[in-house]
Amino acid sequence: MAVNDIDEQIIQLCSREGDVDKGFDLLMKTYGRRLYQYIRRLVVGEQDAEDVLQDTLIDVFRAIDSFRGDSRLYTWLHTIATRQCLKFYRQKKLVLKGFDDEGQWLAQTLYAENSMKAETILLKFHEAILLLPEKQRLVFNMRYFDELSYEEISSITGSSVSSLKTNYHYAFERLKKQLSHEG
Amino acid sequence: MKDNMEEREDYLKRHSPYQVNGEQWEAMQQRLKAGVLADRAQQAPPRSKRLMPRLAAGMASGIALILSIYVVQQQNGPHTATPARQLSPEQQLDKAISSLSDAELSWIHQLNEEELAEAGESSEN
Repeated sequence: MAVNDIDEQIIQLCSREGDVDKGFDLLMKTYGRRLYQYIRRLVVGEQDAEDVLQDTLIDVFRAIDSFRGDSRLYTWLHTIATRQCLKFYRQKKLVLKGFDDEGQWLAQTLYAENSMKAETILLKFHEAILLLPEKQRLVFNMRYFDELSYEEISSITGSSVSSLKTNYHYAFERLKKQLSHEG
Repeated sequence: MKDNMEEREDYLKRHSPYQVNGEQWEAMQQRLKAGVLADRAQQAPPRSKRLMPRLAAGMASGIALILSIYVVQQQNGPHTATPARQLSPEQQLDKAISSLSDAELSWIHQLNEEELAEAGESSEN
């Protein structure tokens, strides 16, 4: 069973005939923070993350009537959020010259917004994630932090499970090496 | 060394440099909700979008018709047969004659004949 009771309630309330107000509150209470953290880890900037989350939620509410329950609701939310994050990267590449090397640009934003707040080891770890190639960055975030299965990540990204496993392995090894140098 | 690595990994997984406090999160949710509600309002079903102007126009013309009937009734009383003032004097006379009984008609004939006789007498004099 892909859709549980809470998901069922969210889908019903968020549909065109439902109570959007209550539906929004339940959706955010259940998945809001996780969804925000996922987007924030990919786009880094606080305002950018809010903008991307807004676009994600608008897409979710527009398309919720067509959600057939083939996957968990959270996986479906992830699919829309990932699409919006990739759109964000494409838009930044178009308007920002420095975004050609998106990892560096994102890492700079990380330090600019966290000058005194987070611990160095935490910042170094997230900097290393941002410096991963785009595909590895996506897979690592979904697998490591959100603990999605390879099958779920495959349905989100359209990549094969074996390719995702390889990407995750490379990403993990790279981060481990980097952190052991730091430690 | 292994424990140290595991502890560190656990720490890195459970902590984030991207935390927002409760107040910020509440405020952000309100902004996001406003955005979603505004979009939902804009995305009202196209069918009702098309029907609304027609429905509104129909309702407006219906109300105008009812009001105009009301005003006419207030001025002229309830609508019955064709109002007399719209008939010519000849039509009014025909209508009045046709509504008379036979007895009334013979009385009028008699009256007319007497008047004509009186008129003849006076003209002879």
